[in-house]
Amino acid sequence: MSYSVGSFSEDQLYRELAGIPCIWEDAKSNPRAKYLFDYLRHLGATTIVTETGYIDAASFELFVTGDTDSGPLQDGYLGFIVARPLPSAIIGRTVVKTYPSENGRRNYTCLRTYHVNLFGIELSVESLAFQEQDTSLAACATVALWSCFQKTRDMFNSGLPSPVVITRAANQLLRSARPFPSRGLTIEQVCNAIASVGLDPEVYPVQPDLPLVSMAYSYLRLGVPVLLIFKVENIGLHGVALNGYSMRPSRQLAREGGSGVLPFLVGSRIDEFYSHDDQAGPFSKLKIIEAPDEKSSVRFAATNWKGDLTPCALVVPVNPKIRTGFREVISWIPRLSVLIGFVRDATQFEWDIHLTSSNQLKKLVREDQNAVPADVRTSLLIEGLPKYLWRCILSISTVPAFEMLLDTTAMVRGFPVLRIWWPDEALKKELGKKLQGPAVGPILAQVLTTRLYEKVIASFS
Amino acid sequence: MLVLQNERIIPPEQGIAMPEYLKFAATLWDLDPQHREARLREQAEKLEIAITRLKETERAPADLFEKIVSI
Repeated sequence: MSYSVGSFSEDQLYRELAGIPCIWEDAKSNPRAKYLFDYLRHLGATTIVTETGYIDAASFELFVTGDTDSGPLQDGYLGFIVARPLPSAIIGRTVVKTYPSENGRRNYTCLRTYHVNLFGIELSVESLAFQEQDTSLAACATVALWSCFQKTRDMFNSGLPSPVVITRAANQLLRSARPFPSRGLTIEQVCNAIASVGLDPEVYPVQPDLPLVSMAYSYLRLGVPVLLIFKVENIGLHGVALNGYSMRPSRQLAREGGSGVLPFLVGSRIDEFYSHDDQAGPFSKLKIIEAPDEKSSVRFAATNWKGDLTPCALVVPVNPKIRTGFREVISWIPRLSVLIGFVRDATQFEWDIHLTSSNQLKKLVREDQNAVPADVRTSLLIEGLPKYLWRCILSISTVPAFEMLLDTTAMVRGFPVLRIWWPDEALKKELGKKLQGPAVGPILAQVLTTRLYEKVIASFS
Repeated sequence: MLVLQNERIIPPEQGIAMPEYLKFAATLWDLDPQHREARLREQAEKLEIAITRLKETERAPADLFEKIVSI
């Protein structure tokens, strides 16, 4: 094996990517290579170290970029690209750092640690692996799944097969043609591939009443990647792996879907998702275009695609123990919103619904004295909780007012509400007083359901 | 007000979209008990319609699973 060290430039990047049998023009004409040049330039790349003759699972050359001007190599290490000897699909396994968070706006939640050894120097990078499709063994859906499985293995200890194994698993039960060369997967085949690694596919068809942005956020927040399938006008269906979001302090979308049936959710403050789009590059932006009316859903725009992108479905690979999904959780939100709307202005409501783990929640409660009211703190820390939980936080005029925990292992027809508490003590007192009248009880039980009504009443004591 | 780069400001008239079942909830307590009960029942009906619509989001179009994701 030999190596070279060079200054980072567009020309140099293409030279290093173009190993036999590829030529410089192959790299230069590859939009993913151009994307990576722009991306790494924005990250401040200065130096490229290339190992030739590197053998990866499906490739032959390791390519490392980094800023080595000052400090230890790790401080300036930006990641690596494996260059494949395929003229039209040079970009193999690629692991690069993310952009800075910009005061918490950019949230790249689906990252894991990749360990690298360069001539005996141990380096690491927080990222999510990307690669472009080669069409022989994998099309867009396969490589998007491959990226999702990088993270789910870290979270759920599920399988991490290569793209060729994913394509083969997808075609195991449903085969309309030979699996290779892979010309794409149906959504059913995507589900087969997810099941083959020991996970369950949670499928969300896109409809006007689905709050699509909040739904994707609810899984991304914990770090579960979401496979988004959208239609590109005049071309067909494309799949990308969502892996982060941009959260703004104020409302960015007047409608994100579901506005006729739900109050505002936190997704209305998200203006873009980050995705591994194998036709663009790692962590590429998907701008969200708000739904024009109640009968439509959001659409997307990306610089590498012409025209608006119309979402068709979202598929989430989840641990089979997470039986309660986002759609079951949101069915409780209207009931609670009516209840709290009796004493507060519902136009100021914002519900933040997301998946969390009991370890993550307990860590938060332990480290942040103000995360939950004092009377709830101790019991939450010592109580045995399911491994995964749904957390529903209602903020009114940006101040947390109500919170509820739901059990993810509950059956669809079961009662998943575990705990309720009131960060806003004044709201708790005011509402508790209003609900004491004997005539109100039976009707409220109808609004809330008897079990939730009892839970709410118990939370006032 | 500090506005971050590229941040969108939605005019207030566009930024308030409320489901039917949430309208007038706060004025419930201004009503006498008889009218309050009638209003609550009306709200409960609208609420059930909304919840049914939410549950129907599970239904996939018949051809969804046949479509090929291929680009």
